[in-house]
Amino acid sequence: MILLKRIIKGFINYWPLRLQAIVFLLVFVLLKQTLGYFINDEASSYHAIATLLLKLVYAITGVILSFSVLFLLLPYLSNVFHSFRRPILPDLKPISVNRTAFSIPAFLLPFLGSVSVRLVPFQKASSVLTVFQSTALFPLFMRGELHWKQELVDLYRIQFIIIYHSDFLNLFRLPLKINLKVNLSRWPQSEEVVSRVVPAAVAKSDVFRIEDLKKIDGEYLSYKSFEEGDDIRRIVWNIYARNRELVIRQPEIMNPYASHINFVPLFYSENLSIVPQTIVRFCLSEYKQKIWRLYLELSNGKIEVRYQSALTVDVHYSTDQKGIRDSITEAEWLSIQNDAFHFPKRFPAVMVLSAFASDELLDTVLVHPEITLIYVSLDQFTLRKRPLLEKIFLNDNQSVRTAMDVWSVHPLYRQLQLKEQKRLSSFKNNPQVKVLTNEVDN
Amino acid sequence: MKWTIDNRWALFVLRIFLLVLPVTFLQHAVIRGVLSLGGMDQQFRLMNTTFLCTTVVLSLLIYSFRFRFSATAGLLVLILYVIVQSADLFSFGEFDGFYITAKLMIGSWLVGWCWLFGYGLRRSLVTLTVQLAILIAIHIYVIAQLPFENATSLILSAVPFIVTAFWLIFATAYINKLDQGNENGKQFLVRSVLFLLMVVSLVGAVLYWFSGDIKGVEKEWAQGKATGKGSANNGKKDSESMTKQNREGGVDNKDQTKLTGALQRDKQLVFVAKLDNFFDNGIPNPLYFTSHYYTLFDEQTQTFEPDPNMPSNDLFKPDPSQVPLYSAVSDNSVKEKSGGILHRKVVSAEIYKVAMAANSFVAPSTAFFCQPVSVPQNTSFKSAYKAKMWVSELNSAYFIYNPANNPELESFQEERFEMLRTIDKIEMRSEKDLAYYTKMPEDGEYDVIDRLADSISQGIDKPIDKIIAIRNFFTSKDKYGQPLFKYSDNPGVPGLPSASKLKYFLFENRKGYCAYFAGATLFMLRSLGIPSRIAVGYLAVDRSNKNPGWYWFYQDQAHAWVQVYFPDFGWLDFDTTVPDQNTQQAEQPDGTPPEEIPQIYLLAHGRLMAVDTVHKTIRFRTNLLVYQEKEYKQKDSVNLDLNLSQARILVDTGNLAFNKLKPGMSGTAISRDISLKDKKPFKDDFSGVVEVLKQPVPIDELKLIFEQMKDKRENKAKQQHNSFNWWRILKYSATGVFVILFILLLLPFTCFLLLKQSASKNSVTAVYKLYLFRLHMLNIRPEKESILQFASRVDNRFNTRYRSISEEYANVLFNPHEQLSKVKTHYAYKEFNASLVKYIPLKQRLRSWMDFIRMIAFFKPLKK
Repeated sequence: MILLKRIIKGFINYWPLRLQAIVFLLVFVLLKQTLGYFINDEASSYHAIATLLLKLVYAITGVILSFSVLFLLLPYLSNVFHSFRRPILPDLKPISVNRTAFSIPAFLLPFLGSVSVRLVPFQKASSVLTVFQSTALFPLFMRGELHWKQELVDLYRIQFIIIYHSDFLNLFRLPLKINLKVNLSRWPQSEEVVSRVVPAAVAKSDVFRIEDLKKIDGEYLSYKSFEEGDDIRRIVWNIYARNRELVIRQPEIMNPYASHINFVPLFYSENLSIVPQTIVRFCLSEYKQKIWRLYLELSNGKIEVRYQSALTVDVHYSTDQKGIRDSITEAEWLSIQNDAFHFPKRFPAVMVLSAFASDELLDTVLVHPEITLIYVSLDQFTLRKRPLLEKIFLNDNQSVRTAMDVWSVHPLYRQLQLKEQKRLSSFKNNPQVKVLTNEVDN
Repeated sequence: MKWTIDNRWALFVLRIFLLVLPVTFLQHAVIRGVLSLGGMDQQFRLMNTTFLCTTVVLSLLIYSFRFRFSATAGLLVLILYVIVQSADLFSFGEFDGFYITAKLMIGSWLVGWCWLFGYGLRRSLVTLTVQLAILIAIHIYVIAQLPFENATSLILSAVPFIVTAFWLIFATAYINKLDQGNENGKQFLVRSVLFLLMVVSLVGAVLYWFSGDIKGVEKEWAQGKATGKGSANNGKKDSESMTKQNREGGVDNKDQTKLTGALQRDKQLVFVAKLDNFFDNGIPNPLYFTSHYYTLFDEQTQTFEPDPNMPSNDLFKPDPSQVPLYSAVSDNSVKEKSGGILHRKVVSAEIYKVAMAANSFVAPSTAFFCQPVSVPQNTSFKSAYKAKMWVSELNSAYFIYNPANNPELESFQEERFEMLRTIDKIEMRSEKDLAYYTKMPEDGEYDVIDRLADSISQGIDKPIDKIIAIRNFFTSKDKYGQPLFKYSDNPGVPGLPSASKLKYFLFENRKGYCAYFAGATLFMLRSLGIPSRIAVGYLAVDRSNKNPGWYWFYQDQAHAWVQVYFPDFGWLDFDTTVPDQNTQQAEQPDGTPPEEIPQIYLLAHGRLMAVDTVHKTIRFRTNLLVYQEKEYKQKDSVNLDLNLSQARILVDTGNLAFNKLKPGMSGTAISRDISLKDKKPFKDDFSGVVEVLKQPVPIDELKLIFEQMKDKRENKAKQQHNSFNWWRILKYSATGVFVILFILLLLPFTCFLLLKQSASKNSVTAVYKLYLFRLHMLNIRPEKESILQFASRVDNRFNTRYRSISEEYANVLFNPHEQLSKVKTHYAYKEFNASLVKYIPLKQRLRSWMDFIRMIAFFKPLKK
């Protein structure tokens, strides 16, 4: 099976004939057959003329075709030899969030012909390239740079590229493989940020608590009882001496609500492994986009937002915006939840969970009252519904559309919808949970 | 200047001009052709074209947006269908309704077609390719049938068409790439021009290559138009002629025959023949003159055909026009193949052609000998030959029926039937032969004929009696005493398949011409297991009693009949066609045979070496002479001067003027000069004869053989078998590729020479470039080092003084005002090269000149 897959892949990558070529050759043969059927009467006066004209057509076609091949072969061979001597190194540089400029240093173009490029991903990595290969990888260009549009937020891991040389009739494409191991990030796009998702309920109680705290008199104001893992040097020995009570002095930024927000997006999914990869990648991309937006919205409120990467088990807060962006971009769905799931040690935090998270996980999270949960509901992972007429008469400009149409009738989707209805109703009176849905957006 | 086309509408306009207009041109040409082929009104042509063009533009516009093809095309089909259907409802008169419906029908097909074109231009190159191929096919078919004036007009109607098709394939793909937004418009312009230039020059080369063929076709067309008969035969598809007009204008029996609605028969004299075949009592016994045999019935085309691979092929088919005068060709194997042993004799015949094609040969069955002879002066005879046949004594044109009810002939017939009654079962040389000659079509349609034959021959054992029963069936009378079968040139019912036609002929209409009788008889005989075949040729009719043994053959005597095989007797003629009582016979011939040809004293076969138009003499190179009826032959050819001032110069088709003679022609010279009668040769050998001849020898007749014609015919035959010579194309294209590769191999050295030429002016840059190029070609290149560092490295390695040049170059490079300065160092290239030669082996140096790619790298340094 793997062998078959490899053969098919190799066939797709290195097959030199285009469909046009096969049709062209077929037509070339059939033309004589069909005409021969009509002009088979050899005694007739037009037989000779028709034969001559047919011969003329064949000769002209043959000559043009052979020149087409010749003009293709010479630069191609030259490039092949050249690549042995001095490897051609293409240049990739991002020009906008979702566009990468791709240019190949000067080499011989097929005379009058063109060149196209295919980016081949790592075989094993379930990267976005393997999924969207057919659509993302056929840009054509003749000279200069190619602007490659990456639709999904992901890390694009390229193993090598193939430069196809096409002749001027667009019949053949000769592949030239060039090793190029590059990881390209398509970052989440910064949309217009509206600071409205700041967890209001928590913020209110936050203010309230700080004021409450301030009202408390006495020396306990900035102390707390010793816990395992606290710095021993901070123990207030005066109090210990007086009360035999182990108390430590809190640092200056003692109140986390007032100074910063811990932002913990969780990429756990319960059962996404059973749906097609296209859908998985698309949902992941959408989720990343949402997380990035939430992050920006939170950090817009002049509060320091500390990000904890979903991938690292250890507590690790990052405040570097670029690092956070990369971290979000590289994130993958995690399916093993309970074993690997470690709560951040420091509460409270803003956690993000998707509709694909399991019930157990939700319960675990909701036990902690300090955690504000942002729940990204299922309708965030769908495309805009198209009216029937548009569906019938218009092609789609989004390559994932077909897959997402399948997704909307997928049994798992139905299952998740039912589950979500229950969840949403239980969230209704829970101030701890903030639901991100389209309805709220509107 | 760099301008990019990123505006969608600009691209759309570009598409209209560069793609839609060429498509419109193609469609216009096809429409024009089809209309004039169908003889239809041309007045709406422009309107139609505009309408179709608009459809293409509309389709192109729609598919420039994100419209789905399947949905939109489906909607279009639906709309068109509704329109066509509703036209039926609202039709006014019956004729009008039909007219409008038909018009709408055609219109909607065309709209669909053009819609597809728009789609192809915008999205699918495959669709476009297929559509273009269809257009080309239609166009070829149409212009091949239309009359044309000369080769130029033919080419003008075909070649731009093909070029446009290629342009469309090229430009469509290119413009679609422009659409992706990262392309340069100026480059597109340059490339388009280059592409067109290339295609035009290639087409020019191909046309040059084909110019001979084109002229040939033009000539043939002109001839065909002049004779005018060919077109008449081709024009009426539903009528059939037993003879055909071939390209030289001669009459010939057709190679195959179909049963059709009507037979066309002209009343032209074809040939005159003398046949030495008489009954014992001196009454001339006419024989059918055979041209060829149809042994095969092609079920698919419903035609009777000759089969060159028929078993025991006893057909002797020489080409008399290619045999020198008075020399003979013969094939004695046909006697054996014919299977005739009993009652056979050799009969000779003389055939004088009038309208018959020069290359055709007719003679009574089983001819084995052919000798062209000269024709008498001042007659309409074009050529003549003698033939000898291995003829069965049982064969006769009177074999089966006896139009005059001559009792003598009747007794002859009975006598012969008695002879054949000795045969109980017909066996051929092998089972395979028998199976071949009794093969029936497997189609169930022919079972009726089978049953009819069975019912006719019920209770009859002997094969000859079965045959007679079948003849009697055709000549029998119905219950009113009228003949059951009648002869008719117009049996009606065109367009029926042959099986149905034969059924119609046998059971309903009972009227037909010879092919009907022969075909029906053939199938009846074969169904009874009697080996038979159809013979085609001419019916001998005793039209003039003045000169017994002489027969005149008119075109309406072209005939088809059946031959039956009897063991040891061979193939015997057996005609079942009933006499034609209605049609007017051709005029009576005057009955005077061609006059005797005077005695020939000298005959020479050879080739013309030189022609003297002033004295009307020629130099003739020969090695075969016939002098006073004795043949002299020699290995080496000898030149003879011949005086042609009194001579007739003949070719197969008639006389030839003296000034048309050209050296290289071959032929036969004949002299009847009485002065030659008494001169005895000094020696009885070739040289003796040449010595006794007083040169220039007066010649009476010079018959030429056109070998070119023979070549052409052979070529044509070859073409029909293998109409496209792939091997030749492969050879030529391989040669082309090799030439290009050779040029490419030579390019580095040419480039070096050019550089050397420019360095001879002693400019610093040029000299430096020359040295650098030489080093580069030897794969010595600077690698991340400065010019001077590189120079030092080279100097160290090869012991040269390259650094001094490099220093000067660097100086010039960084001081722009010194750029035109001359080289100060005296360091000749020769010296430089000599030092290189010491260190680099010859093989490496030679190889370095072959590297075309390295040379490109010199002029096109990699970008960093």
